[in-house]
Amino acid sequence: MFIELCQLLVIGLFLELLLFEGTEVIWLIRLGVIAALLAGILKSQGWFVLLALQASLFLREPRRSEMYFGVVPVLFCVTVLAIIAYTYLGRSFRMRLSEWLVGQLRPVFSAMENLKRTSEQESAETHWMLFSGARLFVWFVLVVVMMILLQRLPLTVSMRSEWLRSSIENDLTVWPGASLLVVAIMLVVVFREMAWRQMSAAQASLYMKSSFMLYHYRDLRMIVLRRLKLKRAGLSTSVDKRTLVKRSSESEARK
Amino acid sequence: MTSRARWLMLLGLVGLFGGVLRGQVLLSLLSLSAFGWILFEWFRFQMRVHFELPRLRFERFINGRNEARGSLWVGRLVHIELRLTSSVAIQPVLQIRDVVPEILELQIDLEVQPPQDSVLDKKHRFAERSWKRIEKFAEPKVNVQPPNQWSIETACTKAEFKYSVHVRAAGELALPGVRLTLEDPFGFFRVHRFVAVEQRFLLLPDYYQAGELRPTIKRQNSLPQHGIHRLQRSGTGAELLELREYAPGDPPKSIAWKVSARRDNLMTRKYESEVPVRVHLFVDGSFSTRVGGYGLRLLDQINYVAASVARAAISVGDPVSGVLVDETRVQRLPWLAGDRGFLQLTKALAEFSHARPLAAKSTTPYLQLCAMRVCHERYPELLARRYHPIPFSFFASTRELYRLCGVLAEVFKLSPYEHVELIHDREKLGFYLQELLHQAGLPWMAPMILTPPDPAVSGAQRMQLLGDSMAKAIAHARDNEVFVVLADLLSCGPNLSQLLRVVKLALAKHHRVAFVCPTTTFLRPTAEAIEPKSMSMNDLLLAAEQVRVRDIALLMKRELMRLGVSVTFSGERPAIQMVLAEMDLARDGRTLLQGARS
Repeated sequence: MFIELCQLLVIGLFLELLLFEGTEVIWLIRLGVIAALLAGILKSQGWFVLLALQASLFLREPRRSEMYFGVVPVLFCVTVLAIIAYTYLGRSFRMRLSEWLVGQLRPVFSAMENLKRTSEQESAETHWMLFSGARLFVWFVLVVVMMILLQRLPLTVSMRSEWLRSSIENDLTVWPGASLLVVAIMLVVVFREMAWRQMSAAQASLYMKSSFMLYHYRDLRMIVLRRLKLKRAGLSTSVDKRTLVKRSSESEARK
Repeated sequence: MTSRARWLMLLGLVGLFGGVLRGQVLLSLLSLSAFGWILFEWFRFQMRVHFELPRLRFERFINGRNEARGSLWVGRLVHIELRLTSSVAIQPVLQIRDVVPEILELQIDLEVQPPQDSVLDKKHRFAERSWKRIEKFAEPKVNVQPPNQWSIETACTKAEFKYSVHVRAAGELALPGVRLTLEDPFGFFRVHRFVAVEQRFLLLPDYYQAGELRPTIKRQNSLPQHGIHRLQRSGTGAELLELREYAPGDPPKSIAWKVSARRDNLMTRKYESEVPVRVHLFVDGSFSTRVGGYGLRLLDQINYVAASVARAAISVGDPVSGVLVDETRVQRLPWLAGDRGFLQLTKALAEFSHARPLAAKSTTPYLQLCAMRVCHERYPELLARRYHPIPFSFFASTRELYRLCGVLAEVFKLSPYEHVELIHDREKLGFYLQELLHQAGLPWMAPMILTPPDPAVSGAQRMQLLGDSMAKAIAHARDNEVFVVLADLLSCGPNLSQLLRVVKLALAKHHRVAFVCPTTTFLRPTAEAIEPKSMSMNDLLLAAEQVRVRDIALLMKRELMRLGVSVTFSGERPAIQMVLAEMDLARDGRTLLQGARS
């Protein structure tokens, strides 16, 4: 419990730094906002954190005509993503993290030695800690990739003119939209193909039947409704063997 | 994709748009990173869905055996083990639920944690209380994990899960398979799948092993030809078996006068019973006996009594026959003896107990809702919109109906014409919905039962069928036969006269007849039972039902007892004891019930 409380305090401290660093907002509002965000974290509402940080950046980040990135934005983004992930991982992760921290602190505090853990618990903690480390690395790479993408895309006036000039000089497409579109279509085709190839026999059968039914729905509906109407009126409409035999005998008689 | 991912993607896109427009670098980068993160998780999740899920293999062991078919006994504990293996590592989070039909009762352990406040000091208690409040705010729902549901939270390649169930009632059990829910660790994406691991079992009815079976030695246990009697009357064999105290109804010629004079107490000679007492069981499986939850139906009580009587009879070498009657058919069982015969009888009872309900004439929203839930549980992949195109409609309920009809058409292999017919013909839809629920193992309760049959008509029909069956049995009967009628007579009191004629015929031919009429409330219609325990609605209704049952029961009992027939309004051990007493009487050749087992 104590360690979970500590975790929340650390998160609150980070949020305070991310949201109000360099501002002159009174402490009462700061506390209120942090408390609301912590409540959102307890309720596993990560979008709440993202929205607050976006709003904060929207209001206080200066406008620039040029895109410039450094280490600080990368760390900022990784921290925010980590907080959102922490929020969505929920209470079970908080408890695991607490247990792992206790496990790390055990040699330091001899009083905690009586807390014994099973091998399953230890393996679960190790798994989740490895998972956390891997995710941190992924986020770091992801933010760097996004940063490069933002720098490459012609979003500002100067970038657009730069793109135009380089495109004309290199005799390539004027706008990267076409290339992006091709890549996007290719990805969509690949994933759709993958999905179709993974379809089960029942799904394929259902798809065929439903598609056929959909194409002929109006005709079939007309026939069905007509037969139901006759049935309700007390007339038999089913074309069974007897009716067929009767009809054939009648036609033969006519001949 | 869950609402979490949708919100994050929306915020990412909006933030990116705003950031680019306003030239805010950090806002753009943060929003794009959030968006990219969701895309990364989606890609990873798709890889798991396409490469991890198809490699999962399940195997289920029932009481240590993994055969596809078998039999289980009602009332006994069944141990189920589910083994999961995969050629690749299974990543968390994977939720697994072995789908268990309603005929099995899960053993849910609801442990209550003892309060620990006394150990803590005041400050600690305050902190504890505060944290509890915060925890309650964070996770208000405390779900009890069912024993047939597990979650894999660490990577592994194989796992084993165990749980136990009780079998509630006789019938058929189909364990369909395992429902899987694959999620990414952050809860952005979720997919449901159903893996078929089908096993079918016949659930044989439970029986009461009568502890004190009277000694009956039979050197010759064969029936003579029709009309030939080995002895003048039943129960008077050639060899003396034992001496016992006289009981009213014993024939005077069987009194051992010398021994009685010595002991100053009347003693009766009991001879070896050399003639088998044949027992006819007439089992009523009509609508009123099948309605209700598994284990609480009248048919469950009837099965219990029938199996117990059959066990007792077969264990002393008496053959047993059965006539299983419901609204539509009469199933006649041959004469059964020995352990194999008893098993045949219980199998026949189990198969008889598993019948589909009367076809529904229409459908209701509740029936559709329940069917949709079953579809979500058992056919989640068929409900995926990508593989299931439906006609356009503005209304969500209509779209839901189209989807349901599509799944039904696939499950029951219907043609496109029948598929469209399902959408527009309520009667046909009702029939297939009911069939789906029946296959899913739902009992004969709402919403499966839409139109119960008219009690007057069904009562007359049932009495007619029972009477005809009894008359046929009497026509083929020999000496010393016992007719046990296990039926819900309380719901067809006015039609009893049809049956009484046959009963009189049986009694005139010196057979014994016993009626076992189970009641829904498991209470004997005594004076105490009609007093409401409290003024609550349930108790008042229970008392009212008891008053109704008591009145009918008393009337019926008087009428039947006047003829000399034994009657009990219970489906439990007293009913078994009564039938066994009747068998004793048939065996001894005595005329009165006093002194027999009761």
